[in-house]
Amino acid sequence: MQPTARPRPPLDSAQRHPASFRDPEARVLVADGRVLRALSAEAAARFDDVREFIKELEGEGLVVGSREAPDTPPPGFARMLEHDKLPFVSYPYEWPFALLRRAALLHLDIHRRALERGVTLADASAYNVQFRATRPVFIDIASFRPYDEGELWAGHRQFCEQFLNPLLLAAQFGIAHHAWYRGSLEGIATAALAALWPARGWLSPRALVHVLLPAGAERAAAKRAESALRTVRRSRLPKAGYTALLGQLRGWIARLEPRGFSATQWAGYAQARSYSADALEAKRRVVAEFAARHRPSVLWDLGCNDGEFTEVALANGAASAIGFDADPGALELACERAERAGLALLPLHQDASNPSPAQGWLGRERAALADRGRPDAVMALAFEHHLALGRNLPLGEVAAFLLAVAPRGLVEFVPKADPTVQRMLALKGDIFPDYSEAAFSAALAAHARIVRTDALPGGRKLFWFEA
Amino acid sequence: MTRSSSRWVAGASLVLAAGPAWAYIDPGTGSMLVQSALALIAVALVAGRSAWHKVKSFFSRRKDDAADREA
Repeated sequence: MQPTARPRPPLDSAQRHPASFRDPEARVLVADGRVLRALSAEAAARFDDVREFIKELEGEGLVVGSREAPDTPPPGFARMLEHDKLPFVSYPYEWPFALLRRAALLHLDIHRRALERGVTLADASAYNVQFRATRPVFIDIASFRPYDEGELWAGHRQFCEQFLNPLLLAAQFGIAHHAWYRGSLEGIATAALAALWPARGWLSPRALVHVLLPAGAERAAAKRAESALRTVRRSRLPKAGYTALLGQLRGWIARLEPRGFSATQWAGYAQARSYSADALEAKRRVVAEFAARHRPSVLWDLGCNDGEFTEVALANGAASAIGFDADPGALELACERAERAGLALLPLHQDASNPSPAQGWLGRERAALADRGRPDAVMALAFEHHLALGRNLPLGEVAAFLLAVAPRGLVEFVPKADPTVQRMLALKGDIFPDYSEAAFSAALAAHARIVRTDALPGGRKLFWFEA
Repeated sequence: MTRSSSRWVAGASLVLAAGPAWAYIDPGTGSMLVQSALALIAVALVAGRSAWHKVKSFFSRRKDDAADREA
């Protein structure tokens, strides 16, 4: 992404992570590629109180590792910690349903265990979870604090808006959460979900407690703010009730499944695709050779679909991969595959024609995809025609886009005679006189070296490029 | 106000003051009201159960007493 010409307003501390501003007693700082956390004296004391518990979770890989750092804390802070660096930062609006559900369950499990130890969590932000492949890890160690007997669950609304409601959107209505969540970074408002909820929802105690009553009470409280606040301040929730709420949510979320995703366009792709067994075998062989030749430590697979070829690359020399796809059903299958085969694969939702932007406060709180690291290699198999023909994007720009992703790559060209392309053009008409293998090849060669090509039975061609 | 009750008020206000200082997120009145209601329902259920036990034991005691007298 090109930097904007307009000077950017400074953050109040030069190294503050742009998303670290909510908790005044803790700051995440990024310096020379290190991730540091500054704690106030109070936060440091609380951290000492809960440290043993955090170490236990760290040992199980559920919480990101941290250690004391020798750096001088910024003014107003008393102690510095350094965190293990995560391989990649992703956001809930990019996670497939299965990963958002996994992140929600991790949050609930940690919170329930915390309560048993007299510890609680100050918030319930989905952005406090990150992924190593498909394993969720909790990153905000400053949100642990001692539990005060009888206190209400302050993070309940946030949990619902950032975890539960997006999951319910898919489970109840068959609507994938990505677009809505990306446009609404604090999550999907309970009032909005309640407005959509069918009348029979009133018969479900879980929907009542976590969706319908909170939305109704919020409306009622807006009319009688003073008395609502008095009631809330007076209220105490017994620990057993707190634990029961977390347990109820856990039981509900663990059984949620996205509705209708298996019928999405590409989830049936492996069964319905148009090329022959020998073309498939040839393609697998080329992918294996590409991975073995370059052994990328990070591979991006654009249009990964169900992760079939990502798995081939991972089995033949790629150390880790991120698979991007715009189809929620295909992403579910990729998650299943990653889990089944124990792959170092993180499947994420992404539409290449509209990639995740830099957004949030000052346009910097959540980073653009292009600013979150560069892979060693890229694969884009049966992908280019979706941009060039599906979205009418100029073929030369599509080629340049692929070349900019990584210093080397393997990209497939799908010719016009291909049955898939014929289907795509059946109603649209052939308005692409310049779409040809020669034009694609020339566009690649204009910016990179084509080091090898492999023609597949049926007319498709794989191009190996190096910058 | 007696000394002990003023100490109680001071203690209670400390507890109340300590809560919000940690809550840097807005918990949302709706969600909190529902939790308050759930807590009340839970208390009512427990109270109801113990009241029911009292009623039950009252009658069973009378039955027992009657049985004792008959014995």
